[in-house]
Formats: sequence, structure tokens, C-alpha cells
Amino acid sequence: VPLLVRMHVYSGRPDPEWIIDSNLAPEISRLAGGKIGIHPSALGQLGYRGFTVFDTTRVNEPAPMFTAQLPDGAQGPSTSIAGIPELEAMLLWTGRDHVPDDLAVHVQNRLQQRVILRADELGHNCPACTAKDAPPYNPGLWNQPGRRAHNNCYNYANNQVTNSFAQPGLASSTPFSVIDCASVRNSAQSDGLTACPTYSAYLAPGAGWYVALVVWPSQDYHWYRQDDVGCWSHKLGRNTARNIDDAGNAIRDPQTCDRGPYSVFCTFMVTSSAVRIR
Amino acid sequence: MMSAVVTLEVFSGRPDPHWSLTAREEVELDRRVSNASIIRAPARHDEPLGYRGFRIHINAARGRDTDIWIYNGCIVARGQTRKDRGRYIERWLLKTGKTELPSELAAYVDGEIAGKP
Repeated sequence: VPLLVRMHVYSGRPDPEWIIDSNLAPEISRLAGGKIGIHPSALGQLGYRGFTVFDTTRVNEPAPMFTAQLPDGAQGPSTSIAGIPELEAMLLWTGRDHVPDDLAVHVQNRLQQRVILRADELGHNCPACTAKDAPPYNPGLWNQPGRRAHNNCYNYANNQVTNSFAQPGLASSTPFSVIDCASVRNSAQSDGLTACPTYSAYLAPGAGWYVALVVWPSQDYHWYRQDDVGCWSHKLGRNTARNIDDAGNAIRDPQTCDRGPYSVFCTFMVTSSAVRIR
Repeated sequence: MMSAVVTLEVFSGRPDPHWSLTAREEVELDRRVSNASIIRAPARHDEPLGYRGFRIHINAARGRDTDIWIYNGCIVARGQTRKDRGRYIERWLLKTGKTELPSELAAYVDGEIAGKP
């Protein structure tokens, strides 16, 4: 029984569709792994939004292979395969004779902007957020083409889009000269951030939110921020904002999460909307 | 004429290092990518802290600009995924930037490539 693949991408034109052999069904099911429909891109983003695979046995009423309940507050159920880049890339490959090159590039770019929400984990076992100004986790704001590559971890931690790949100390004419904790922290302090020993003290509205500085000795620095749910998130340079660490886990404390080569934890700091970065 | 700029995706705070390929290197890149076999297996989309691959922006004098992304043994170009068998293209690209990269950083990337065959 052939399967029908529909790519959800257009708004005005009919979405591209093509037929694939049913012997791919086991691989599709394996890669799907019960994770269908939890990705925010399935909820109404313009441009690429995912795939649906239909069983064509019932000619007049093709049935989606998968359905899933969407997160709270969304209309459901969903039949979108989204948030599973391995499966989406495979489905894109099956449509290589039906999808124009420029459209395929658009989809590939979206797939490379993977954001794993792990909505099932967040809100559970996160530490308390005591900063009333803590921003919500909103990766869509940062992962848009044209914005993603021009804003880094410092932009993200301070929740300020400058499109300048902001550097600590640049706005206050105190750039760091070497990559170590003291130098980068001093530059950030001159921008208006303040160092603090923990992230447990109450911060009233207007007082800002917590961020954390870590260093890859002699090479680079990196920042995390605490979101309003209590867990932490970060943006990897010109790459995506996300709320998981290098091991794929929710970040409950940047001191102990998997940070790759950024081996030195420097300090927690407080930033606010009054801080100016460049 | 084209120009190809290689960006080593590795940093989070500082701008990533980048350099231009010579005309001879551009031809060699095109040859290596064209000879790589197209695969059905999708590219991996790991984006860890630290080394995250090479992105090559090709500015075409005629036609559209193109981005090629090479990481972890996979090449993504023009909507197709190809296999960088043995990660030879990644290793070769690292060598094209040897005069631009601090030796310590180059050694780190070399180790990352070697560590994930």
C-alpha cells in the first residue's frame, strides 16, 4: 500500500505531495518514536511546518499514519511530523524529485534550527525562579532567519536583540583583552551587570533576572539565562537558542549541566532591561 | 568567478573564525563534494557547545549564492545530503584555515573530528 507524503509549507498554494513505497513505513514509525506533534513549529509558523504521512488504503479518505494530542492550549489533535529532524530529513529525501532546490534548502535550514522543548520536563524539577523579570523561553524570537546569526549568547542572556553579535564591555568601552573569568566578568560589570553568589535571592519587578557566565579557557565565553519557569536556556553563538544542555537534558543549574568545552564556571550575575549592550 | 568563505562554527560569544578559499581550493572543494555519494540517511543535527562544523558560503558571480554545511561526516548542499566518508573533507577544510586559526583551537577541532569517526 503506497503512502502519501504531504509537506506543510505553503500558505496560498497547495502543499507539495508525493507517493512513497510502503516498505518505508517501519522506518518512519521507528524514527517517529511516539513524538509526533509536540514541536511549536507545528502550531502555525509560516513556511515549513512539518509533514503528514497518509495511508492511502482508503482512497476517498486518506488516513494520517500518526495523530497526537497537542500541548495544552493548542487546537488538536495534530498529525504533523515536526520536531524530529532525523525523520523529517528522511521524508524530505523521499521528495527529492518533487521538491524544488530552493524549497529543499528552506526546509534543510529549518531542520538545522532544531529546538527541543521537552515540554514534558520543563515545569517539573526546575528550581524556583525568584526573579520577577525573568523572561519566558521564546526561542522563536531568536531563531528566525536573519536574526539568529547576528545575535549571540550575550544578546540572549540579556534578552536584547542588537543584531551586532554583542560583546561584553563594548557598549561601555571596556572590552576584555583575554578570555578568562575575571576579564569577561569585569567587562560585563561595566555594561551594568552585577555579580552574585547564587540565583536564589528575590529580585523584585524592575530588578532584573539571573544569568551565568562560563568560559572555555583562552578561547571563548558563554552565557546562560534563567527563564521564568526556573530552568535555564542559552543560545549557541550564531546557532539556535535552546533549553537543553549538550547531553540533551533540561538545564536546572548551569554549574552542573553539560557545557562541552566551556569547562570553567565563573559566576552568576544579574542583568536587567536597563543594561545596555552592543 | 566565485568566492568561497569558510566559517568554522565553534564559538558562542566571540565571532566564529572565517577565511577565504583560494581559487585552487574552491575547485578542490567542488570536486570533493561532487564526488561524495548522495545518501538517504539524514544529516545529523547536533549543535553542541564547541565544534559544530564548517559552513561554506559560495558567492556566485552568476546565479544564486549557496551555503554548504559539513559536519560529522555529512555534507548538506542544495537540499541533498552526502557522505563525507572518513570525514576527509572536514579534515581538509581545517587545513585550509591553518594560517587563520590559533594552533590550540585547530588542535581541539582536529581532536573533535578524530573522536567521532
